[in-house]
Formats: sequence, structure tokens, C-alpha cells
Amino acid sequence: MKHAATILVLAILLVGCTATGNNVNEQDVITIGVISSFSGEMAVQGEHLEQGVTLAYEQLDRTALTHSYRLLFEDDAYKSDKTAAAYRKLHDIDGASAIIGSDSRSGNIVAPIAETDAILFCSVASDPAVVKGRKYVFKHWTTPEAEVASYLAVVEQQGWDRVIVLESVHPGVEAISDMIEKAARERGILLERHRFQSGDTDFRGTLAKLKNQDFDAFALFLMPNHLQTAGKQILEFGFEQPRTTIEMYDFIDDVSLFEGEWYIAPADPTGRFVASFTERYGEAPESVAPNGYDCLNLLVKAFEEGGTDPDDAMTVIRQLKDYQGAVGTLHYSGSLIEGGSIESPALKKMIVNGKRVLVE
Amino acid sequence: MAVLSQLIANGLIAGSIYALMAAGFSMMFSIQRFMNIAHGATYVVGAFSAYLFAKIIGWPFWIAFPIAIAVATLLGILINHIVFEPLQKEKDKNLALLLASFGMFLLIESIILMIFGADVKSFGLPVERGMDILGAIITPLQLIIIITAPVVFIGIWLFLKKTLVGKALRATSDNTVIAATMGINIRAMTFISTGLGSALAGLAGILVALEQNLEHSMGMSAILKGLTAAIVGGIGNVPAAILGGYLIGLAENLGIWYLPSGYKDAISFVILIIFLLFRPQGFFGMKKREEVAE
Amino acid sequence: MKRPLLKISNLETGYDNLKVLHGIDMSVQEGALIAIIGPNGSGKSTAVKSVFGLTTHFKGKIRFQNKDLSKYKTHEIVRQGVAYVPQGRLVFDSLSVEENLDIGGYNLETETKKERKQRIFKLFPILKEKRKHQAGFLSGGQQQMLSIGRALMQEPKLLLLDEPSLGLDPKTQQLIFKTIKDINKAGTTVMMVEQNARQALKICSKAYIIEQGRIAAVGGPSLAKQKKVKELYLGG
Repeated sequence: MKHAATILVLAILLVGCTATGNNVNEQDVITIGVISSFSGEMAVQGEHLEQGVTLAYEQLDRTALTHSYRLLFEDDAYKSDKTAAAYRKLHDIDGASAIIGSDSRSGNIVAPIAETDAILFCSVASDPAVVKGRKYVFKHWTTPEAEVASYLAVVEQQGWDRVIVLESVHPGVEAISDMIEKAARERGILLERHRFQSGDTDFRGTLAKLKNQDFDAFALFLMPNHLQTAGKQILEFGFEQPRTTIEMYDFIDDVSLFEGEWYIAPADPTGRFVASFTERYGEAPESVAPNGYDCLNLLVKAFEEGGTDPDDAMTVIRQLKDYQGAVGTLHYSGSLIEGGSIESPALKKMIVNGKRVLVE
Repeated sequence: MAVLSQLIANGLIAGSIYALMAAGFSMMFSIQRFMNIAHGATYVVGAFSAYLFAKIIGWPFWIAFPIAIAVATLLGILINHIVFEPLQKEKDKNLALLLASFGMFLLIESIILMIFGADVKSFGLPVERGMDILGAIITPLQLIIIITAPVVFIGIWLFLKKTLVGKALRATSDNTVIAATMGINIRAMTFISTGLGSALAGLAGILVALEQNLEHSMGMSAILKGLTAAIVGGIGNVPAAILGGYLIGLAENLGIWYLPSGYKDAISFVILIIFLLFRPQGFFGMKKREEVAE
Repeated sequence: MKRPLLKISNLETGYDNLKVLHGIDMSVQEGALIAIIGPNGSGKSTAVKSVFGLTTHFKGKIRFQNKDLSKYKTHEIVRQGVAYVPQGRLVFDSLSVEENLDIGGYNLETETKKERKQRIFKLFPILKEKRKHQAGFLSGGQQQMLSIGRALMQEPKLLLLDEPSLGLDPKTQQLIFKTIKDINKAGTTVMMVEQNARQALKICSKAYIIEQGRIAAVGGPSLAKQKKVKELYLGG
């Protein structure tokens, strides 16, 4: 036991010494940190973000840059206490000047501290609360408003007036659900919400209660592990109502279970981005990868054109118009009160022959 | 009425899995006397081994699944031999064993993540519409779960009750020292109980993976429910743990008849707290009898 | 003189770092009925447990049939011909009476086990009556009979008993002592730790008195006549 303790202490010291040791003159280098879940239930999201950001970093034309850039990744394992710790490490120890995050949960934790520290923060796939009233924080995703509007437009088109929402307990999901419930009410559409905790993968109880009820469709605002199970159990129960969603079919590999279903998705990556991504990784980009790519490039653009002063750098972001990004032509929208967003459009897609196909 | 039938059916399905986990946990606890959190990892390894052999390599289920259970069994035995056995000699062994088991759980979960990735996986079995049985919709696979678990439990009961090794396991569980003085090799009993317990966890993992899906982090909720069921039933007592599993499964599902589904976990843990406070020996456990002279 | 069946030489033993016995010598001849008496905490039970390797060994030797018992693990010792009836009965509560006996004969062939069970039932008819009952629900006296019966399944050469009369009413104590005497008469060497010094000295062929981890006296039943023994252990 004693020997084991000694070895452990030595190992920690060794790791501690090598972890931050480098020969870079830190005054010349701008550090961009990436916080995401590279382990845990949302590790797939971290994986996609890392791919996009790394590709952008590798493609930087260093001869044309004024500054040097260093990219660091921190895993928060989709746990809030680890998100805060990751930020502190990147900012306090590694001297990061900008952060990229991958979701609402981490976004809501990092945004207030980044704002206080005047650190630029690009939060992908995040809800409006992350950016509201913040000067140095912007999000890059299809806006929830655009997604909700597109979704309800299709619902109205179908003539539906009662939709059952099965949702995972998650801040991003809740934000979308709250927004859609409000907007639906204004249009006279009834949304009935049922919430499920992360570890609860049995929807049969709720489905049993819905069996003989009259409704038009399911809206599955569920995290990946929930989505597969719920989708399957709905079919097993013999429900014939459509299973719709916003975005979530983009977060699972195999969509064949949802053959024939439509959903609302954020903008697709451009052909050019897809080509270079596929060449680098041997697979097509998914979910947050193109947005991570854009975030890195936008932050570099901000520092190159605005300098290292955070206010000047953010000015570059706020003036963004007709920028050719990985998800198409981008522009900045928003205000200091509402918060800023790099917008991309919402699309209607369908699962056809196991593939996600653009409908409109 | 159909809702009640469905909730009872759901309770039996969930209870079967909880009972398998609880039985395995109790079997190991009855001999080793510590909370083995790594039991959740053998559950995950069982599921992913079955996925590897059946889905990735393409072996037929009747070959892939027994081998997957064997892999889970071997893993449990290896962890016990390499990690837990040396720690049994330590002075403050209970804390050391608990922490070591938790460490092994995290390590194995991470290895699974590294090898298989983070995304949710599925056996991709064709979706079958459920059959209407007494008002409840039950798929053939769910029926298999409901039937398999009791068959396994009967096998365990026969083993423990009718075989000499089974009796030796029960004797060792009652009193390890006296069992040793009877000629029972305690190390062998630990080996057997660990192997059997791990096999049960592996089987539970495979059934859940078939019925729902699998992901590297699926072990924690399984071990929590298994542990809850074991305590509620009567810790260290395998038949009591099985009954505890079904009790928890049914309580959770019947409990959400009028409550939102999100309260399921809360229902289990409230039951656990009530038992810990008022009946720590569990529903079917016996308090230590006071010696009474004639 | 014949070599003793059990010889304990200069034994220092205890639990973890605590030494309880500080160098005791004991010699048990085949066929003897040895009593170990002494005050609470003197190390009597430790002496008996040490034969089974249940204590921490510091120094000394325990030889049974001239074999060094420290070379054997606890579960191997019963095969050498030593059986143990622990203090407080300690039957396997969740097993039935019959299952307890099955465990007592753990290493035996099925037929041998069957025969010996019948002999135990003859010796203790109440156990036959309650063979299917859970051992945890027997009375104290019945449990003690079961504990002895379980040990006798091995037909040991040496039977070690730790306070067999503890917690039993006088009538049952008498029965237990008579049974022990009968077992000894039938050829089993017995070594018995006892609080009930009077009864122990009545039936034994030799007695050891242990005080504070040391042998204070050795002798036969005539020890009962010694003044000090009378005062300390026989109530004057």
C-alpha cells in the first residue's frame, strides 16, 4: 500500500511537470481552448467538435498570420463541475484568450465567467440564455427561433393540433421545448410535455398512458441514448403517429429506425468543407464539426484583424457579414441585450433509405 | 385496466434486470463483504462483448452470447484476483476495496469508450410490434427477458440448495471462518461466487443491450438499481435480492401511474432510504437472532 | 511414553499485533479428555483457535501426529483429523440441520456421509426430528448438539470444543458434558475449553489452567481439591 502511494505521488508529479512544460514564448502565442465532453454520455459531440476545430487549426496559413496560435482541449465529461474546472485551467494556467464550447450546458457555465474575464467565447449549439446581455460571448448555430418557426410551420401544414413531446432533462432541450411550447400555444397547437431523466431509458410507462389517447404526432426532444430506445418502443407499441424532432436525428449514427420521418436540422456543411473533412478523417462531418471549424476560424480572424484586445476582437465578430464558413454564408446578428449569434438557416430533412435527405 | 397491465408488465421487465444485477451483487457480497461497484463494469463488458461478437464479427447469437457471458465472468474473476484479493489483507480494507472497485469501474468504462467510441450502439434487431397479453403490449424479446430471468433464478436456487458447492457457498456466507474449519476452501468459494455473480451481470447487460441499446456509461445506473434492490431485499441473501429486484421494478413502474415518468429513480431511492432507516436488514433479511437458553 | 497426539511447544500467539499467549506448552495423549480452564480473557479460546490457524502466530510449534500444523491452511487442517466446535455454537443459521451436517462432512464420499449422518442422528435423536428445520431457529441446546454433530461427521482423531456449555441451562449442560464424555469413551481424543470448571474437572483426564496467557497449573481431576483452584474457579 505504501509503495503504491509513493508511485502514485511520483506519477502525479511527473504528469504535472510534463503537462505544462513547453518552450513557447507565451507572449507571442494566442491560446484558444476547447471545452467539450470527450468522455461521458455526450462524448460523440466532443469528438465531432474536436474534428472540426482541429481541421481548421491544421489548415491555418501560418505564414500569413500575425500571431501564433495554440490549441488546447479540456474534457468536462458532460459534468458541470468539470466544465468550470476546465475553464479555470485554460484561463488561469494556460492563459487562453478565447474558448470554444459545444453545447448549452457548458455554455451556460462558461459564458458568465468568460464575460467577467473578457475572454472571447464561441458557444456552438447553444440556447439564447448563453449569449443574452454578453459582450464577449457569441453562439454559432441555427437559432432556436429559426428551428422552432420551421418546425411549427410544418406542423401547421400537416394540420396537427396535438403533439406529444418526449424530452430529456437537459438545459438545451428545455430551452427549445419552452420556446416551442410558447410559440405553439400562440398558434393554437397543444404540446404535451413528458420529461425523462438521463438514466431512465424506459418509456413504456408513458407510452402505456398515451395508448388510447388522441394526438397527431410525437416530438422527440431526446438525447441520443433516449432517442433510439424511445423510437423503438413507440413502434413496438404500435403507434402510427409520426416521430418528429429538431436536430436530434443528426446526433445518432444509424437513423434507419426513423425511416420516413421528417425533422428540422441546422444548416448543412458546404461541399468544400465536406470534401476536406472527408479527406482528413475518412468520414463525413457530423453535428457540431462544421460549427467548430467556423468558430476557430472566426476567432483567428478576430485576433488577426482586431488584435489581442478583446473589445477590438469582438468588434470584428460583430461586423461579420457574408463570411464563407463551413455551414455556408454567415453573418452576425443580435444586440448586446439579446446577445450575438452567427446565424445559419434551419432546414427540413427526412430519413430516406437510412439517409438524411434535404426536403426544403 | 390496460394501463395497469402495462405497468405491471413494465415492472416485471425492469424487475428482471434489476433482479439479475442484485442477485449477482448479493452473491459476491455474501462472501466478500464489500460493495463491489465494478459489478457495473462486468454488466457493460457483457453487453459490449456480445455486440462485438454478434454485430461486429458476425457470429450467431447462440455462440456470441455464451462467449460474451464467459468474458464478463472472466473479467470479474480477474479483477478479484488482481485487485481485490491483495487488498483483503489490508487493515482498513473495506474503504480500500470500495475505492478500488469504483476505480476499476471507471477504468473499464474508459477502456470501453476508447475501443468502441461514445455513440449509442444498437444490435439493430428488426422492430417487432408487441403482442397484446392481458392488455399489456409485450414484444417477443421482452417476453424472453421475463421468462429467462426466473429460469436463471431457479437454476441458481437449485445450485445453492441441492449441490454441495452451493451449500458450501451458503455456509461460507453465514460464517467464513467456521466454514474454513469444515474444510471449505474460502478462496475457491470467492472464485465461484465472483464468477457466478459476474455471469449474471453479463447476462443482464446482454438482455438490456438487445432490448434497448448500449453505451459505455450504461453501467452506473445498473449497479445503482442492483445495489438498491439487494439492500431492499436483504443484502447478502441471493433469493431476497431477487425479490428485491422485482419489488423495485414494480414499485417504480406502478409509482408512475399517476406521477410523471421522471420520478422513477426518485421512487427507487426513496424506498431505499426508508429501508435503510427502518429496516436495514431488508424486506426478507433476518435480524441476528439473540441466543436463547432452553 | 507414546508420542502425544497433539503437542504445543512454547507457543506465542494472538491477534494482529496483540500477543495473548506468552509461550505455552501442552501435550495431549491419544484418548485423553483435556480440559482448559481459567479466567475470562486468559487465552483459553486462543489456545484452541491456534490449532486451526485462526490466530496470529509469533513463535512456537503445534504438532499433530508429528506434523507441523502451521504448514497447513485452515481448510486443510480438518483433513488431518482435527475438528472444531466453536464457542457460541455458530451453526450455519440459514442452512437446515441436515445441510449443516453435510457441510461437516464436506470432503467425504456420499455414502460415507450418509452413514455418518445416521450415526449423528442416533447420538442426537432430536437432530433427526428437526433435520429439515433451519438451524438458526433451533434452541441453544439443539444448536450445540448440531455443532458437535457437525464436527463429528469427520470422525476426527481430535475434537476441539470451545466452551460447549456456554449459555445453556443446567440440564442441557449436563447432557452436553455426558455426550462429550461418551464421545471420548468411544475413542475420540477431546480438548475442551470450559468456563464451568467444576464439570470440566469432573470429566477430564488432565487439565490445564491458563492465566494471563501462561500455564498456571497442570494436573488431573485432583486439581479440584487445590485451595487456589477451589477459590478461583469452583466458588470456594
